Amino acid sequence: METDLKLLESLRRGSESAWDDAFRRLYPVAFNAAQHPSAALPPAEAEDVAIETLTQLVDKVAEVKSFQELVALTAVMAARRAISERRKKYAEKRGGNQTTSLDHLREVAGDQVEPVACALNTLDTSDLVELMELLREALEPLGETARVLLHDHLLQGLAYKELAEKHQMPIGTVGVNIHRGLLQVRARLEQSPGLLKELRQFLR
Amino acid sequence: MDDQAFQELATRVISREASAMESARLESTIARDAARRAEFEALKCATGVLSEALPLLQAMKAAGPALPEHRVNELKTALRGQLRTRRPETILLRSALERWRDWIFERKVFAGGLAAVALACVLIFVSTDQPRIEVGMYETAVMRGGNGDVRVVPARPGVQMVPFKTEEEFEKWRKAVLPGRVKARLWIDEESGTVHVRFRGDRGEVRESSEPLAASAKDQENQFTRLIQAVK
Repeated sequence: METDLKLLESLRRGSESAWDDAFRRLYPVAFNAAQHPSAALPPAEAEDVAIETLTQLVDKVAEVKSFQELVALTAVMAARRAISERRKKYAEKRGGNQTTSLDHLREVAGDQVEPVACALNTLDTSDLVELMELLREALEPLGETARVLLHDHLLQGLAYKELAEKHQMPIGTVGVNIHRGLLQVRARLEQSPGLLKELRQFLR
Repeated sequence: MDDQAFQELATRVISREASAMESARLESTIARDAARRAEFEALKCATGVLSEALPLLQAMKAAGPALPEHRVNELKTALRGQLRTRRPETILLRSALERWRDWIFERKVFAGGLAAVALACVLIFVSTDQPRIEVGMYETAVMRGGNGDVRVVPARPGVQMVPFKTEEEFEKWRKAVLPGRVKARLWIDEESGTVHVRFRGDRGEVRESSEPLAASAKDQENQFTRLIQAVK
């Protein structure tokens, strides 16, 4: 198998076999990103979003510096497309076939609407790709335990006590791991002041 | 309150783990201390960003589900359409190079070490009455245009592509004595990664040379250009 750098060069040259390889590697990324909690698409629709996203990558390959960046771009594009699809569906359901703002979704549906993915919808694609890389770097040193705890706490909504029971560890350890993880992310974000400034505008 | 104590309290409030008294304590701290307020806002921002981004970070590591086979053709069609609108001849010919290489490796045509494959370069031509240079290649690697004709790219007089259907035909061509009107024959041995040239020297003697095949498609194009110029 080609190294990722060679693969990227082949993609830029328009090699069909390289694109076949890339599509197979990137489809799981796109599919899973299309199932972002803010979109909550069923699998069949996530599949459609993933395929549409992959077809858009051909024009984008010249803009990325590495295959890893292409992976991040795929995830960002798929998640955005999925959230957009959800907004359209919600608007159609309400009648009027007009897309509605995600803020409005939150206002009318209150707690029934998942977090509205402000950063995903307001940062431009290159900033989002940069953010993904930044967060990946921030989380890497934490270790698997801390990453799993952060995932369960932030995405599954598990409280410290529930996390302590699930992972068979003292509640204090849970707190320390989550605390360190958030500090690590904050510290890394502060190294990109421009990005942090934009994020602060949109996150409440 | 020292830094660590404040950070732990802020994390507990953001994580909704703080008691009412702890929350009130944090509120009064950040109400009177702008720096602490900024620190709390930064931590809240980090938490919000992570909540949005974690699903994407996980997606980036996903290995499944596999691309459904019934969607593969759809992707290929979309890909070819987009590539065709970019730089039709060069991209398609380069694709032919790649497909040619894939075709050869898939079929193990080069068994026994004689696996010599000629690839079309961007200098494919129509023959003329002048002594010509032949570039041998398998017929399946030739790109066909919409009207079924062989697609050619920037033409130069005197260089001809010679297509072969089988390895036997190719080997016969490769080993044959250079006909009178053929100045040189070029082909690529994919297995050894070399370009071979058999050419007629200035005194009519037949000589053969070979060199390593260039790594990238662009360099290969330049290599073929140089070799053809050298034997002309």
